[in-house]
Amino acid sequence: MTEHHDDRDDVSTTAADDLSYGAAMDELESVLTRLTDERLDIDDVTVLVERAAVLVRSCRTRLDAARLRVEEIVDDLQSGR
Amino acid sequence: MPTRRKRDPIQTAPIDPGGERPSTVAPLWRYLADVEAAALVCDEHAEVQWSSPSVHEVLGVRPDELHGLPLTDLFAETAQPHIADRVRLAQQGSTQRTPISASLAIDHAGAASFDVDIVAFPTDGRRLLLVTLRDASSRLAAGRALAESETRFRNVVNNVPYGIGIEDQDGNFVFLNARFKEMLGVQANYILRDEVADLMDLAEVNDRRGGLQRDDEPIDDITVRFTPEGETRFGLVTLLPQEGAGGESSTFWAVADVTARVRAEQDQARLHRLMETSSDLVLVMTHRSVPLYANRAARNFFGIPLDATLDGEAEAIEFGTVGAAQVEEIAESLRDGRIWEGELLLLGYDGLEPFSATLVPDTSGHRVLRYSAVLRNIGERKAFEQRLEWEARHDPLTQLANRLLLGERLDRALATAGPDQHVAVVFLDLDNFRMINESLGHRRGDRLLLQTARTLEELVGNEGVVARFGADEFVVMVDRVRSEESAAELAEGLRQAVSGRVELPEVDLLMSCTAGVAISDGADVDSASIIRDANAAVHEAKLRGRDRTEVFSSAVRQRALDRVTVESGLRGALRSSEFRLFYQPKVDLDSGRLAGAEALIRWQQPGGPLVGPDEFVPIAESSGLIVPIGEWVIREACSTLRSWTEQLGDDRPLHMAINLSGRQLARPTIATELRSLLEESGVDPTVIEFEITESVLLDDVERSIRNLGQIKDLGVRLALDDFGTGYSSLTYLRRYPIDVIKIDRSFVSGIGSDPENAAIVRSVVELAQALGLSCVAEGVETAGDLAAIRALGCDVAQGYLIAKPLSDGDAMRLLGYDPRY
Repeated sequence: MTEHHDDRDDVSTTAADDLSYGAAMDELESVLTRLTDERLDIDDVTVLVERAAVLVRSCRTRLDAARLRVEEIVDDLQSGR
Repeated sequence: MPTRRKRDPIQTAPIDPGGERPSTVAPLWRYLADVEAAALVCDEHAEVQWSSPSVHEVLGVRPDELHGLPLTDLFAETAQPHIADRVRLAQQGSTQRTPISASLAIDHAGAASFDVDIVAFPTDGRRLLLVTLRDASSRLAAGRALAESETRFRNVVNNVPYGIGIEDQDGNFVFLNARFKEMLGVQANYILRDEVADLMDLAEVNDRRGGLQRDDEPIDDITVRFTPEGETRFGLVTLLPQEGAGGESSTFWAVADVTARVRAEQDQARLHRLMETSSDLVLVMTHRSVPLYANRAARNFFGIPLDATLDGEAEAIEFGTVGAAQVEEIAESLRDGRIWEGELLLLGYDGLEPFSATLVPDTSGHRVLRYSAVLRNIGERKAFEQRLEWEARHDPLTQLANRLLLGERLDRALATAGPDQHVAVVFLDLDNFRMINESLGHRRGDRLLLQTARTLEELVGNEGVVARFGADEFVVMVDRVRSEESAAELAEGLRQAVSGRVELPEVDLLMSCTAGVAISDGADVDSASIIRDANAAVHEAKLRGRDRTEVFSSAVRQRALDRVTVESGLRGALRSSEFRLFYQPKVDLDSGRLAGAEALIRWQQPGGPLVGPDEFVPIAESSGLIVPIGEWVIREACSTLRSWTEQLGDDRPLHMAINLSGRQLARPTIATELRSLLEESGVDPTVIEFEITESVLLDDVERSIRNLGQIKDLGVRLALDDFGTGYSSLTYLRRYPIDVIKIDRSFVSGIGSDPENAAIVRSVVELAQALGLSCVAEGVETAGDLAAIRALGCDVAQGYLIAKPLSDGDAMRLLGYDPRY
């Protein structure tokens, strides 16, 4: 049991969508760095990969949402509501 | 990535656009106020009438600075035609949504480039334009950064030293990284559920995730066997179940290829099993011989409990009586890091035992940290060798010495015998043992042999050696015998001891035994020759009627040599046509005419005398040569009889008597063989009479009755020869299918002047008459004999008075004369 084995506990449990975009990107960077650590333990792999996937999805959603939001407004306006 | 600038105080309150604000715009305020985009409302002339508060934040200008500004003027010259086009399209009702990327013409503190959207919307009967500007550079930068992260994520996932897969809720693998694909030997980026079972053994996985499992809680340490084509690999799997937002579940797989480790563990387990089942003692010990590991054999030998933990705190192993010099030699070898091999005496439960030892040190510098020992108990091997050695020299049934050991002991006794000391060898043969074995069973036969062995051992004690030589043959060697007489007494004593009544399970036997004894005569004699002499003596004793002791002498030796010579001669006699048949006529006392003859064999060697049957038939019997000789006799006698009949005519029925030996009668196929011979000869079986002696019938009564019955069925007559000389018994006469009794010549010869013989013959004749048998008197030599037997009621006479045995020609001539008696 290496000290890395505890990585799983270090992975943030905060819902990705509750993080600011910048914080989410920062955490994604941190998770990817840990995944490339040569001492990576198998027990952490699934958790880290899954967290990275969640973070990527969250950031992608929000980046797309910035435009989408405006489009929604325009839609509202055009429909006369 | 976009970063929100510090909000200007001006933004803390709604900004009055400073112009006419369309009433319908007001509801938009709440949307637009918090949008990270600048929003402008233009009139039908595309001039800015209203600006959102975020204008200040996004563009770095105050909202009132834009009031009344033609929209196109807001943008750089290169973008103006596009903006104008988009305005026109919007006013025409187009819903074109692709933003125009444009930079601004005015001084501003915002981004270099913006995404511009223009849409028209009707309000209060007017058609106004809503224009939004978003910082394109920051969005693009953020997008690029995210894309880079995504790419990196994909690369990382493909390059981690583990297989990674995502299994959907239906069991399909919808994602596999490169490593996982490599482990499974697949190329595809997904694997359907049906294919998964062919590639891996999911039993344990399904078992482990069968229970309730909380999402996000990994299931780890599952060893899964992968079966890519042609090989088996092992993966250590960690699973992470996931519940998606839409309720669908999936499982993240992380797999480490542990094939090498599992194989090593399997090898190690095999090695461990091997060590634990080995009969060799295997130990790992500290330099003070405190065991750190001891296999089962070692634990058993040294009394270490099988469940004891060996943590270096146990008692040191005691190596019994290892001498000081040996201890130093071992210590020096180990200190030098050299393997020590040699023999050690170890103290086990059964005392000191010899071991071959291999000691392997683990040293650091000249310090022995610990050492391993492999110890093989060579005591067992030595005991086994001794056992084999013992078995090679002993009879397995009686545990007596066998030929080999007897020969060795005899040689030693002969070599060490003093000038006045003799070594005696007694050969003992149990009479009729074969019959006992066959009729009472081998179990009783073995019991008899064991009892005989024990009896002989008790009698001989330490004075000599008792050996079992063959099935029913025992040989006793006794050294320091004073004389031939004392040797003979010894032999007779042994013979008597094993004779007499013997109790076996459910049956008592009256045993007899035949013995032969030979002694060393001081001359150069070896074990083989003295045993051979004793054997010759027992053979002689058997010929003389068994149940007796014979001492070997030069005469015995001569007879033994003669036997060998005769047997050798007999082997060639048939081939060389050296046998002759002679025929002794018989008289039918009723008619007084010759009624036939008995065929009698003689052996005529070239240049030698005519030899009678007494001198060679017993040897032909013991060697088995009697069988082919007997066949020749039957063929020859039948041929002669046919010749006589042809010459004398059918009106004169003649009989031919032919002797059958015990060896012939014992053959299971004898009846068949006789039938073929008779058929071959063309002689009517009813004129043939086979003669057998009483002693022949004693060997195996049941078989004799069976065979005689089958022979009788051929149509021939059966005669009991030499009646009165053996174990004459009424039982035989009653049980055997006999037609004729031949009274032995010893009762007949001189009967006219011997009232006792006359009484015996009368009894026999009366007996025969009572049983319906006919009676032949042998040895009729005088007219007085003939008159007497005729008076006593005998049916047939045979003897020198009538004729001695004649050649076939002479016999034929005599028959032709047809004399009357």
